[in-house]
Amino acid sequence: MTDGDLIHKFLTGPNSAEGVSAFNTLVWRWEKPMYNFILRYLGKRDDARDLTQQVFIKVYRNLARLKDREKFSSWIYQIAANLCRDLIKQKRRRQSFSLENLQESGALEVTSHAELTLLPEAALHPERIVSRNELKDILEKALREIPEEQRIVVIMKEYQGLKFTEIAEALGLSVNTIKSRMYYGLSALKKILAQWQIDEEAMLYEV
Amino acid sequence: MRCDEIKILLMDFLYNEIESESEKLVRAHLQNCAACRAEYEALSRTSLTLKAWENEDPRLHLVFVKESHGWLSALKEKFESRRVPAMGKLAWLAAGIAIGVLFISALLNTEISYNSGNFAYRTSLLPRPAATADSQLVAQIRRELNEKYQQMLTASQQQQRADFNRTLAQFATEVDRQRQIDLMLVDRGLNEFQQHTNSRFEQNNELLNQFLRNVKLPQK
Repeated sequence: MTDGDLIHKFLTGPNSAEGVSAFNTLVWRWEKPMYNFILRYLGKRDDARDLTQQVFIKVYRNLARLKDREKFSSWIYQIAANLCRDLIKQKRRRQSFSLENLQESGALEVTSHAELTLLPEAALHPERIVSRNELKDILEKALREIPEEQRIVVIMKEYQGLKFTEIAEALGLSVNTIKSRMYYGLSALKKILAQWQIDEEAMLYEV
Repeated sequence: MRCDEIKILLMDFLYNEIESESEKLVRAHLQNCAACRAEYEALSRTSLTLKAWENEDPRLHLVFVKESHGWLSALKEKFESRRVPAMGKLAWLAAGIAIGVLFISALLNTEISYNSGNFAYRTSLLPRPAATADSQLVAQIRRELNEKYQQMLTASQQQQRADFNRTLAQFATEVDRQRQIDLMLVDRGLNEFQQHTNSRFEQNNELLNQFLRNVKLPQK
C-alpha cells in the first residue's frame, strides 16, 4: 500500500478505526526518517523527538489540504523544515537575549568563538584511525560548519535520499538553486574533511 | 563544455539523476579534463564518507489514538456522519437556533408585550423588580397628570371657541351697524331727491298756472 492509498483511507474516515490505523501506518513509516532528518538538521535528540511529534500533529491536521497525494514526501519534509527553522529562529532570539545579558556582565569574551576553536580530536591525531562513533561526531561537526541553506540540502540528499525535484518542492526553490547549493555544500564539506584528514579510507581501515 | 558549466551536471551525475544526453557530455568532459575528474572523485568520496553517519532508531513509536471527544464534537460527528436528509438537517438546525434564541432571551430577561396592535419588546440584563407600591404611585401620578392634561386641553378648546364666537358676533353687529348707516344714507338721499322733484313740480305748476292766467285774459 502506497502513502497515497493510506492517505486516501485516512481521509475517507478520519474517525473510523480503519482511518486511524491507516494514519498510524503512515506515522510508523515516516517517524524514523523524520526523526533522523530533524536530528541531523538541529543536532539535538530532545528537539528531534519534540519536533517529530509536532510534524505528525501538523500532518494530521492539514492532510486534507494536501492537493497532490503523490507529493506527500516533499510535503512532510516541508513541514519538518519549517518547524526546524522556526525553532532555530526562536533559539537565536533567546540566545541573542542572553548574549546581551552576558555582554553586560562582561562574560562574553570567554564564550565567543569557543565552539569554533574546538577541533575534533582526530584532527589533532591525523594518523589515528577513527571509530564509527567518532566519525559520526566529526561528520556532525563538519555539517554544522557549512551554511544552513547548504546543510539542509545536503542532509535531504545524502541522508534522506530525496530527488532534487523533491527537495526543490519542499524548500520552495528552483531545482538549479538546490543543485548549486548541493555542489557548494559538498565542496565545503570536502574541504573541511580534508582539513581534518578524514576520508572514506579512515572508515575502511576501521573494519 | 567549460569546467564551470559542468558543476550542476556533476551533481546530477553523482546522484544518478542525469539524462542520457547530458551523461554523455559529462563522461566525455571527465575523460578529457583531469581537474574535473579529480574534483568529481573527491566529491564522490565525500559523499561516501557522509554516509558513515547512520540513521538512529528514535524508539518513538508514536501512535495516534481515537480520542473520546467532548459532547459537542460527538454531536457534530453524529450530525455529519449520519445520512440525515437535508430537510431533517434544516429542521435540526432550526430547532437548535430556536433553543439558542430562547436561551439568550431568558438570559436577557426579554419582555414581549402585545397591546392594541403594537408589539413592545425590551430586554435587560438585570432582573426587573416586581410591581410595587412605588410603581402604583407612579401610575396614579401618571393618571392624574393625564386627567389634568385633558382638563387643560378642553378648557383651552372652550376658550378658543368662545373667542371665536365673540369675534363672530362683533363682526355681525359691525356689519349690521354699517348696513343701518347705509340705509339711513339711502333714505336721506331719497328724501332729498323727492323734495327736490316736488319743488320742481310746484315751480312747473306755478309757471303753467301763470301761463294759463296770461292766456285766459285775452280771450275775455
